[in-house]
Amino acid sequence: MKMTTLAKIRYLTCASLLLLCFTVLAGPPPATAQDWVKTGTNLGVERIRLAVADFKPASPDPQTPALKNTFDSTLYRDLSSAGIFDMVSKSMAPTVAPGSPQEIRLKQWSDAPANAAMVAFGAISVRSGRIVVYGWLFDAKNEQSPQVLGKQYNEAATQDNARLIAHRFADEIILRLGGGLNGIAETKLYFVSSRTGAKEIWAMDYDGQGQHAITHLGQISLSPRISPDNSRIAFASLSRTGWAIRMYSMDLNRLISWPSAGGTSLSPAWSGDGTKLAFSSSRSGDPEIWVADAAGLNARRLTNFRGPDVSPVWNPKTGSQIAWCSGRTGLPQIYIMDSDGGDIQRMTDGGYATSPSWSPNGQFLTFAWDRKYGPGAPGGQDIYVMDVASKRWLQLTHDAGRNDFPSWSPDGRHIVFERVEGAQSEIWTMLADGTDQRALTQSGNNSMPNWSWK
Amino acid sequence: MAEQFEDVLDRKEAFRAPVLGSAILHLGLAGALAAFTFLSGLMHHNTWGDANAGGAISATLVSSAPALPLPQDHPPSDNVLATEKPSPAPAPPQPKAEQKVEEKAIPISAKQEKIKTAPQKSTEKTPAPPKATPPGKQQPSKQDNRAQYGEGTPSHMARSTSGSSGGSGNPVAAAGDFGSRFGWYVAIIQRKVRDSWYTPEVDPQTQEGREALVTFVLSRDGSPSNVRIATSSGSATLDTSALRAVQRVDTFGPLPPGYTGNSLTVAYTFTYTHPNH
Repeated sequence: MKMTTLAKIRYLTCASLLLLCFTVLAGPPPATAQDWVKTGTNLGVERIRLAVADFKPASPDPQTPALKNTFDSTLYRDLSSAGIFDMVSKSMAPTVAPGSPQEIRLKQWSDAPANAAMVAFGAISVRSGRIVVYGWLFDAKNEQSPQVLGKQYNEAATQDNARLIAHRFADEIILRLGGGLNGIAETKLYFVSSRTGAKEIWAMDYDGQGQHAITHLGQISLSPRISPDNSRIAFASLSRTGWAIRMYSMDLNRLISWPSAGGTSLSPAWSGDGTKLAFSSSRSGDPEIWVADAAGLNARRLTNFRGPDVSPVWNPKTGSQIAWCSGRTGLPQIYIMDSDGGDIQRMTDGGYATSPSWSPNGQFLTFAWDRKYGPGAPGGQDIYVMDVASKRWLQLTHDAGRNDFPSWSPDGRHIVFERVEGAQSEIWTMLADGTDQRALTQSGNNSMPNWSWK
Repeated sequence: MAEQFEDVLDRKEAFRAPVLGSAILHLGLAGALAAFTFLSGLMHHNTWGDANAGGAISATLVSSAPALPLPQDHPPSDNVLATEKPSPAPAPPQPKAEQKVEEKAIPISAKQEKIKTAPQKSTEKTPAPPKATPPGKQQPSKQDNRAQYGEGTPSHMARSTSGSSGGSGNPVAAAGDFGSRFGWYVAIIQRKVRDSWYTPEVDPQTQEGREALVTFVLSRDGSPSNVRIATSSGSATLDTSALRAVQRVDTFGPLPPGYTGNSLTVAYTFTYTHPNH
């Protein structure tokens, strides 16, 4: 500890020489340079506070304001419904629209009242029928190298494309800041709607926009399931010969043939690789779970027990397990088994449990459950999430109508479901912890939603 | 004609038939009820959600498990009265500690000098060291008692420190500016690992504040590899849970496009706190 002044100077010279050496030797970091970061659990964790500036209209085209408004509102909604951001409300954000990295003053955004950690901004212009969007994401706390993301988009100038570009930009931001999980802003929902009279298969964007009918069969169609590559929809339909699995090609926009072996066939489910289809069929007398390949051939039975077995769903992570709903002990319960029919486990301990859906990471099941089922019992049908390994569960909906047919989003952060209030049944969405519940449909009776795989 | 005016009240009423009918009806009802009870007891019936039909299921919140890919702002609490968001009102002011100023005390000059000359070089993000004040004259800072309303301010703490030490204690910034350039990515690493750290796995006997240092390497696609304990906490369960937390993460997302290196080494400190706190 006793260091003379001379020794101190010598030491400092040494250290600075060493430092110089390092600086000279290292120079610009070589391609194989390995950086170090040090972090830990004790530094406090909070959601990323994200501000979205209104995009700057950069062309005099009369179409621009309408497209800009669509873009702005879509981008804000996508980011706020992602569930991972603490959004700066528009009333707190500075009322400026920086159109390029030169125009933005980061301090304006990082200071109160916005307090943003990240800012998304950019410019939108319409030139000769094309919509051009430049979008940036900047780290508001980092003046030296703030850019996290810079993107350019160019599409034909329509309202749908303005929404599409906003979805894509939002997905880029969510992928960057959400830790490698793809966003879902471009995914689709498939559902059953009777607003044209018969129950047909419909489709819409994940935020409820662009609802349109897919099938026009004039028959009752139920439980649509989109294939993992978005090319086909399998569903159950009531024809003259009874309930049968039907297959609709999204590429050909028509039904394609799928063999029917008699009996009642219901509730198809795609395996994660799209090569197999599980379904419930009563061709052998009792409704059992069957598995066939994507063309409907080589069907074989997995379950063999008295009582109905319906609603199979594959574990999308491993593809080696199937969850389904069985009435072998009386009321329907959720079970899981290996995809060859072995190792059957019961998941629910009672009540009335139906419509399982497996989370993309394979760890959770969500299903509709009435835990106090019976005449005069105080039960309500609600959506639950269960940890498959520990069988611990969490109730997501409370005291709001009858909830059924949950389906996970491909990012595992959202669940879409059907809620019946009075005589009206509508499609709702929520975060996978039960918060942020919102209705997606407002008219007609809509049911049995299914979230696309990507 | 006299019979025609016979008093109605004097006439004898037909009594037996209605009484008999009533008796038969009630007996029949009682018999039917008994028969139904007996028959329905014989027949197979539903268990109506009988709790002992399957294994016992404990009502534990799943949100304490790590796999829902949603950030957890607050750790789940067993307290049924706990609200989702803590109150923004500040804690009541602490009673001010009486500062005892010893009149005769003479500040020790040698020690003060040491504080002043201690070199405090650090990266840009670390806050400036507090100014050294002579002991005794320091006033306790005023308690800010205002309620924080509206949208709260985020903490201004450094999100990370970066750089490898060059032996002399001075951080060498040449190959270690990742933390300052891409602080947002470090924040993602920090958040994702913490969210996947499952503290109930740790032996509850473990002392609070024990630290395990885990290092791992991120490739360009953001997937961790070479996960190992650099400094053990002394508790085997804490070390294992820390390793598992990193191994649970498939990817942290691709490394920032502006970053030229092809991998990133992360040193992550797990500081144990009891899960119920």
